[in-house]
Amino acid sequence: MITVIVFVLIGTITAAFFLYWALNSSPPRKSETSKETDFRDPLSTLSLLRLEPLPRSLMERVFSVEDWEFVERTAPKAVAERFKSERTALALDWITTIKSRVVTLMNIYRRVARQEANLTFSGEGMLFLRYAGFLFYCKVLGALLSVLGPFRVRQMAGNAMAAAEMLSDRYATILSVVKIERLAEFAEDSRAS
Amino acid sequence: MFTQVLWWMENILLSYLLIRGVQQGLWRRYPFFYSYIGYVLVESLLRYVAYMAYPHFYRILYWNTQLFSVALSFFLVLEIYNAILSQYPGAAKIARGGLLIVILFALSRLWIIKFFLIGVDVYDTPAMLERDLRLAQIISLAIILSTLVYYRVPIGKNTKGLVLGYGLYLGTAVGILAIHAFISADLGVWWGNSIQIASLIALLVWSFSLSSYCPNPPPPEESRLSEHYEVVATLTSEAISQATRYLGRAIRP
Repeated sequence: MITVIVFVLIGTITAAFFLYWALNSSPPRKSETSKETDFRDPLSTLSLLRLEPLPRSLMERVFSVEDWEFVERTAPKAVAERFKSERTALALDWITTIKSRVVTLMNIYRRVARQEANLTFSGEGMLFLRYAGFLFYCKVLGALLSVLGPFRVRQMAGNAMAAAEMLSDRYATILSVVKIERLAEFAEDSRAS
Repeated sequence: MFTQVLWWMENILLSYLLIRGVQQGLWRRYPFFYSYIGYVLVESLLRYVAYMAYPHFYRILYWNTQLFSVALSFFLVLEIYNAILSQYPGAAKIARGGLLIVILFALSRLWIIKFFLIGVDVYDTPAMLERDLRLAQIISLAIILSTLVYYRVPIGKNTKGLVLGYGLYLGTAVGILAIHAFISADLGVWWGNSIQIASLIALLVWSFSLSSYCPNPPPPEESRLSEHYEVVATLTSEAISQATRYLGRAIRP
């Protein structure tokens, strides 16, 4: 009886999975932005991909612990709570930003790797595991931030900025080896996803 | 009466698919698929004749033709693999790796059954054998589809219809076959009707998606990545690791 239930479940999940895929996979689009944008300029390309470098000074101020200590000391409790919740929201935004950068990096990588006959099964497997681990990590960190608040994880800002800068650097390196005409396609895909 | 309606609908759709395939030249592009459709039509007519004229012979004919049909449908999976990934060697290589693992797993399972379960009849009924073969097809198709989604391989209406129609059929068929194998019933009316409804769903999807030729979008021209692939792969991998490490430090008080 268990076997029947398992197979019926497999069958139902399979049918639902294929139906979901068919309903949610978008039809292929023709890039229209390639004629309008000059993709030889790395900064404009990064901006189009929403990957422009983040200003460190701004984020240092936003995450300043001194600000929190000052507000906690002088403001009413309700104001301090409001301040804390807004800082938490900012911290969560940071995670989303870093996550979206890694997702875009992977999107670019996958789009070029799919035509690369020299890739290895083990290498791709490791990269996939790393990527899946990173996405999981973002979820865990987001949950921790929501529960503990940003001041328990106060290295967040510095690390997030370092991660953002490092990723921007990686983008620049990767974009330099990807054929420049194809950036329009990547940009459009990135915006759609 | 209902069975007759289903049977006629199935044959009409099979014929329509074949006619459109010839008219639109699709049979040249998807030869395995149209061979499979042609075989299913002939098989269906043969079964009808047997059912009407030689009812005792029907069961034997059904399972023999059905198991041949299942074997033939593996070529349909191959057709889908070719249609989707032939122009993307990187993605195709990964899918092949996944399919190889499935084949090795299936063969090792057979080996274990052969050498360690001597005397045990694993497949009491042909329905159980078909169920397991269909399951292998589901896993193969899922690997191809996962590769397609992961590498964002664009596909046209024809290929999408092939995948969706066959995926829906396999999902429905595995459930029905499992129930049939469990109750070990004779080929009753419910059995024939349920399998025919599963076929009809697939045929309707195929009739819609293969009514005219809609090719897959051509792959973009070759990038310069092949010259720097290892560098880019390492950079991407390092970038993800570093991002994880940076975020990891953040949770330390």
